[in-house]
Amino acid sequence: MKLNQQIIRDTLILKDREAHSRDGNKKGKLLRQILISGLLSLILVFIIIYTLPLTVLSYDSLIEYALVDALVIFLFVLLIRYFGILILAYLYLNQYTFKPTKEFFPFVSIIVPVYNEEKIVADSVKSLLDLNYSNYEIIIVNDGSTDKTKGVAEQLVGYQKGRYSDIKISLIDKPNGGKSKALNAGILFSKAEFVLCMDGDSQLTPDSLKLAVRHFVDPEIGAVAGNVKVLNRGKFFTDLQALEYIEGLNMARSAQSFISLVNIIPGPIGLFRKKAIEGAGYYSSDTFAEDADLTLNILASGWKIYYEPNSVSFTEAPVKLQQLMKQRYRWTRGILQSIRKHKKLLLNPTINFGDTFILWTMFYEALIWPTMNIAANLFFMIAAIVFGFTSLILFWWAGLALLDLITALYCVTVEKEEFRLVWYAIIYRMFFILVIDICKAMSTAEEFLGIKMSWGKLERVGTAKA
Amino acid sequence: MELIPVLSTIILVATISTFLLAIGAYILYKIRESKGQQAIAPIPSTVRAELYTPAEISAQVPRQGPEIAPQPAYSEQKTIPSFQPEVGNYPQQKGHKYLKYTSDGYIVPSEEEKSIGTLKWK
Repeated sequence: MKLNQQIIRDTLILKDREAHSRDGNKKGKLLRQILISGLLSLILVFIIIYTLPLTVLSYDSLIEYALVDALVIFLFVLLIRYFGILILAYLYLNQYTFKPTKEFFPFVSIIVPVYNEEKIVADSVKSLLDLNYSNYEIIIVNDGSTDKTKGVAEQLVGYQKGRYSDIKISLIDKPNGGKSKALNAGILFSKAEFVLCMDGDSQLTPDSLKLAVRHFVDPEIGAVAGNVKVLNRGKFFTDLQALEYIEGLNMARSAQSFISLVNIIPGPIGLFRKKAIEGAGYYSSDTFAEDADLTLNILASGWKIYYEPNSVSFTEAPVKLQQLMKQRYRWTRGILQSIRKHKKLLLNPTINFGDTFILWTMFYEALIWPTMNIAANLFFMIAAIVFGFTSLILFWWAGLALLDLITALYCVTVEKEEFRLVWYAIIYRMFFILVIDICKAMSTAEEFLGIKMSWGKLERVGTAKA
Repeated sequence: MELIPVLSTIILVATISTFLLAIGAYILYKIRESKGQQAIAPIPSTVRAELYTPAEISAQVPRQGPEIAPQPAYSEQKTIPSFQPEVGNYPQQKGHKYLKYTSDGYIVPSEEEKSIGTLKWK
């Protein structure tokens, strides 16, 4: 319900506050990389040629042994990764459950960047007015929408009745410049010490802000990542993504939170100490994963990042395979761009060991893991078609499906999620992850070749209703 | 017919189909993207934006009870309800700090009662 009041219209001059990296000679760098990697490959080939006669191996059996060794290493890494994440996630949940918490209710600005979200912006704001918190304001930033988003958002401006107090809603209408610039505009306009950044199509649960903000009692915490869940379930692809968010993303985030080094604060819900954002140079538009880039900058500045599992944001997931490809293409290239921006930390663990560790895990997830997964599947396919070892692929699938099934069961139980999602684990690795990994591998190749890309936007169907 | 060869064939066909589907979808996505690609505009150093904000209201009063509503740390304007003990018919008698409650209501305790220790004030 809107209260009667006067609305002030004003003009803002938004300065480009983000820190830009110097471009330098990109072509020269690429050429140097190709030359170095080519030279190293040649050295490796010569070593093999000269040392092979000294071993019991023959040239014929070399590929066979190499493939078997690669497969064993892959399985070993897979198990280490799974159990490592599971143990750390368990330790984190244990710590989270028994950790005494203090109440903390500072003033928070919620920034809602919107671009062509006419169907869902009102529902998003409605979910914000129902927050179990009284001390906050909402700043909607319209990033030059071409539909009726501005009109819908303008109707929302004013003091609206929240759960406990009247909530101030402001609107910044700016020309299109991307999500990072829209968020920066909102952050610059905010007078609060803490800002909650979210997506225009996301909806927060009532306790999400109250539970996330209390972690800032610790002055070393620079940001708190929330728990993202899929809202538009009930379809094959969205159900698989719902399982992925629970099993793949949230469990990994819990594990990272145990060492206070969450590597990506998700776009649908992230609460920041404004000082941390300022120190990190605001959101940057030179990568396609602005949230990953900002998170890495915050970590590099020495802040800790925590994960709050009960601070939930529901978001619309891509419904069609084409949309899913678009999203994952952008994520992969964006993460690789962010890693490249922080390569100093990647290569030098003496600067900040925690950051180096986190960057390597990101590099592993974005590049090494998909390559290994595709290679393993190709190996079993060739073994079945060419050599007739058909049963190998069945045992491979059964082993992975069992591992995924157990993990899914654990994650679904911990998050008190829908039990039916567990069954999707049977096809999760052999179908969904394989599709995603192929997309990741292609995107990685394009990123290394320097092929230009555009942001694109997912078409929303407006199912994100509370 | 044995189960393992049948299941193996199903998994093999499913894996090959997934490979083809993923590569096909990726190529299709790239074709569609390339059709809609536009030139990247230069980034301006400043951008003019319009601001719509409500005029400040003098006092914001929380409407509901504060039992679960968080109290703002900065709040200067808000009036926070504080606990007031109910006084009811409690008599205000000058010169007597403490009263004794009986079935007839509040009475002033006699000096004798005080000395025998019926009432002890710490």
